[in-house]
Amino acid sequence: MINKEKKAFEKIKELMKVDPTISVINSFYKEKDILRDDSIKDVIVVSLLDDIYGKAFYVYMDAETLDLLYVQGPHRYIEIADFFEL
Amino acid sequence: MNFKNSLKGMDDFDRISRDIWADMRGEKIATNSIEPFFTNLWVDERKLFTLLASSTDFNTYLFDAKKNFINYAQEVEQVNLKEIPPAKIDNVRVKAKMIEKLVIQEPKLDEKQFQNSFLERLDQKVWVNVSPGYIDPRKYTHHTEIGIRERKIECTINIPYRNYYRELTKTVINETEATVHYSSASPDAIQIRLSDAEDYMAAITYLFPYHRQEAQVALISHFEEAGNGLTSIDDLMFFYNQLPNFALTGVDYKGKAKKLSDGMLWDHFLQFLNFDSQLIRDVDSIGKAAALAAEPFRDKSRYAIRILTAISGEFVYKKIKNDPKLILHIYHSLDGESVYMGKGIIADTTQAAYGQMYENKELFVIYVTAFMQAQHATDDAHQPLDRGSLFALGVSRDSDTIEKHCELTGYFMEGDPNNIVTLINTVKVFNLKTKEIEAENEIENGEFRPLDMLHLKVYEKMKLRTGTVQTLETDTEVPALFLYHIAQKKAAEDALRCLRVVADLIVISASLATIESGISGLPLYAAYADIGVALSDFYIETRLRDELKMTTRGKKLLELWDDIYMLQGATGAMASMLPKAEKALDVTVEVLYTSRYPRQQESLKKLIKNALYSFPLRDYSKNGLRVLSKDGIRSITNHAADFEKLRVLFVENAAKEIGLLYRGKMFFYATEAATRNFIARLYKKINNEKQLEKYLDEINRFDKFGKNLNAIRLTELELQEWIQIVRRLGAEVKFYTESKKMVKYFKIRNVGACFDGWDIPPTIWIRKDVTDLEMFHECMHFEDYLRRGRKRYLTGEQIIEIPNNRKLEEFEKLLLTQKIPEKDRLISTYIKEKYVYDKVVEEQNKWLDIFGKGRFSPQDMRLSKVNIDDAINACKKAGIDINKIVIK
Repeated sequence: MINKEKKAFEKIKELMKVDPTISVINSFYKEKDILRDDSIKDVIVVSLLDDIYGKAFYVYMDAETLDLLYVQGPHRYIEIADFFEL
Repeated sequence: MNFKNSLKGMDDFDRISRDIWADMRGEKIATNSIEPFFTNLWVDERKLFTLLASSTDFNTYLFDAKKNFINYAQEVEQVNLKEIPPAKIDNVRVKAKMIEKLVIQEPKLDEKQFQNSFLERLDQKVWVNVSPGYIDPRKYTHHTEIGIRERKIECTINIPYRNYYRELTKTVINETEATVHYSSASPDAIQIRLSDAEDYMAAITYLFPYHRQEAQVALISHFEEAGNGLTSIDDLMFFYNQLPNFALTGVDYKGKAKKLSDGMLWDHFLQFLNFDSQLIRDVDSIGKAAALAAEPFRDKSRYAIRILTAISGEFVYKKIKNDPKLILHIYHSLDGESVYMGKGIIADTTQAAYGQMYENKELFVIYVTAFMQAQHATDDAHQPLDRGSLFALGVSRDSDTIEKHCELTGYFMEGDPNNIVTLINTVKVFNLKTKEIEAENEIENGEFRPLDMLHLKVYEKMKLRTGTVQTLETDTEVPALFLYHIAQKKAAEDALRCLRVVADLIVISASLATIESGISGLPLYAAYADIGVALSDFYIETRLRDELKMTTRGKKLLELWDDIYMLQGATGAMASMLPKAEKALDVTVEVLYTSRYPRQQESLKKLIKNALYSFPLRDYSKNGLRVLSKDGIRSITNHAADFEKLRVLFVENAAKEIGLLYRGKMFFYATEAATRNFIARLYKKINNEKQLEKYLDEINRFDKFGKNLNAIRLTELELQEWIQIVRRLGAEVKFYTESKKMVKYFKIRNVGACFDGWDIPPTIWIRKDVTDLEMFHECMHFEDYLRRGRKRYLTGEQIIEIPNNRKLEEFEKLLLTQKIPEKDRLISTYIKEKYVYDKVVEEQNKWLDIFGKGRFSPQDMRLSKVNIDDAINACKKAGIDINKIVIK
């Protein structure tokens, strides 16, 4: 799982390269997590910190496939497409 | 000349001449006498002599001389007027310095040694009030000469004792009646000659009581004339020693206030002040210091402070409001102590007693505080740049185990071009069980201008009648100067003592309406006779009192108020003890709502209104304060009965803002329409009076420490109301569409709102459709920012952009050049989000408890929970033990 976490981390870091306003901090594994649609899944979460206002964002990924699921913001969920579009 | 040596071993004080005694004390001898006089003026002799005869003392005195003065038909020639007063008593009296008599207690000497013959005997009964320049030409005449440089005061009253032919003379105030038209060889009148203005007023008051005020006004005019252009300190000291007190506190004459002019008093004030500072600067050797110490009246501060308190507050305010340097100069120049002469101030502890010594510095601070509280507390000019500053002092017991000890430190950098004072407030959390200090936190730290109004809470322990100890809380607004002064003293007791004198002064000034009328803004050393009448407004009127005695509830009300006021004759009441007053107010409101008599209701409303002048009502203006009756409340809400039952007081001010007070604390205020909305919205959630009570109790229990946005708690707000509340505390709320940068940010980050603490002022950016939770969340970030201060809040955040609209602060420059370690950033984020999450949960629980439903939806709560969990996960992953993070 550590490898997966690392991979997830690298994947997001790659994606965020183009955005200098955000730092990729680390990634962690959550077993049987309740997701936003109430489904239960093992996930890997990559933690991001906004360099402008200090807000935290968490990218939820499928622990198996490392598919990007959604981004959890301070107030609302953000679609992957919106979040990574620059 | 050193008199002290010659006094050693001297046991018979009569052997010392009064001249020497007077000289030693820096005083002068008052010489008063009665002499035969020739005049052409006429007086109603029968009335005069009836008056004189009614005075036992005077009779004794006169008849001791074995002369019948009463029978005016008797041949005057047979009367040897020279025998008055009896020859064996020297008719001189050492007059205590005016300043000393009123303000200063000098070394205690046995007053008996200074008893005088003539006026001492008159003291008890015959108070004749003769003021310079006052002449009623139809009855009698008096004449006043004040020679400051000659050190001479001469007041005379001529009282005819037989019928005269008189010619009417046209005399106006301040002119001397001098026409003598006389044909007989024997004297027609007695002339009372007095070398002291107060004796003169005393004589006039006794003999011609209806002319007292005119006499006072005329005497004031004489002193005004004599005091103009005085430049030597000796002259000024003589002037103020001779000046009667009313010339400083003011006389109400035909509805207009008359006292010495503010301009002249200010000029004298600065002269005394500068003289003192000059002396201090000139002392550069031990020899000089010793010489100064030996000089009995070196310290002129007592004069300065006495004069200052006589100048109308508004005048002083105009002089100092834009001159912080002057304020601090005055503060630091004042030296020595004066005696507090207020009569009231009742407290079980830390009371300010009559006769208590006060530092002159302290009196200046009190004076400024009282005036600022009464008049300018809400002026924009006096709001601190760092809004929402809250300071706490004293010991607050939070639970059986936890006590919070709040301390204050303050310093002032001399030569600082901005003349700002730095204040630091710390709290020690003391565990009563382990007897250990668990934490020490800085809760406030800021730089302020001396007149910035800051919010202060003082905690004190009070033993109740039942024997239990309770923590009482005084909640008020004070200028930074007050806190700076208290910080030097390091004790909450001092703050309370000062606040009580402040409350006294506000009550006096409010009930006298002195500030508008121009009478001395704050007659600190209350001249009782002069303010007595006005103060009586503040009493529970006699008739009301009698009526109240007849009911149980009324009796309770009286008991509570009597606890607060010391009822001394007709003049001595002053307010203090706000916590007690809150209780008394509560009961008074109850009686008001149950009273069936309109006149009684009016009296109660007046009592409440006057009491409220000494209540801290935060930002609410007390100008034109009015207590609403039941009808008034009914026009605002259909639920008036509930509010009446719970004794919620509705008030209105000149700005037509309705304020709602529960148990003496204002928990809401807004325009009438907004108040109506607020209550209507509240009643959507509330079903009965019980729930309302729970709500009100909860709202009064809100956090006692730190800065907060309590106004957003337990309430539903329109967007405009959110904005107003946030702005009141010094932040800005803007729509994200106003900034290109924000348009982009909101789009990709999909936030509902965003708190930008880097901006000055801090800004909450919002969407138009921002939700209640999003607004609450960002507001809690702002509250955290207010409590911890800007620098601390931002520490741990990475700044990556240079703001182009302002200069960078030092700590920001540092942040720009260094990369903040990830761990620090994670901790910073965790602390911020944890604060917000705790507040969200707390609010949700309160709603469930009071209203039976949550404020936020389950989905909202779930997202909040997941967010804080992930913040913890991220910390753990980085090797941070969050249990070791102490949130200060």
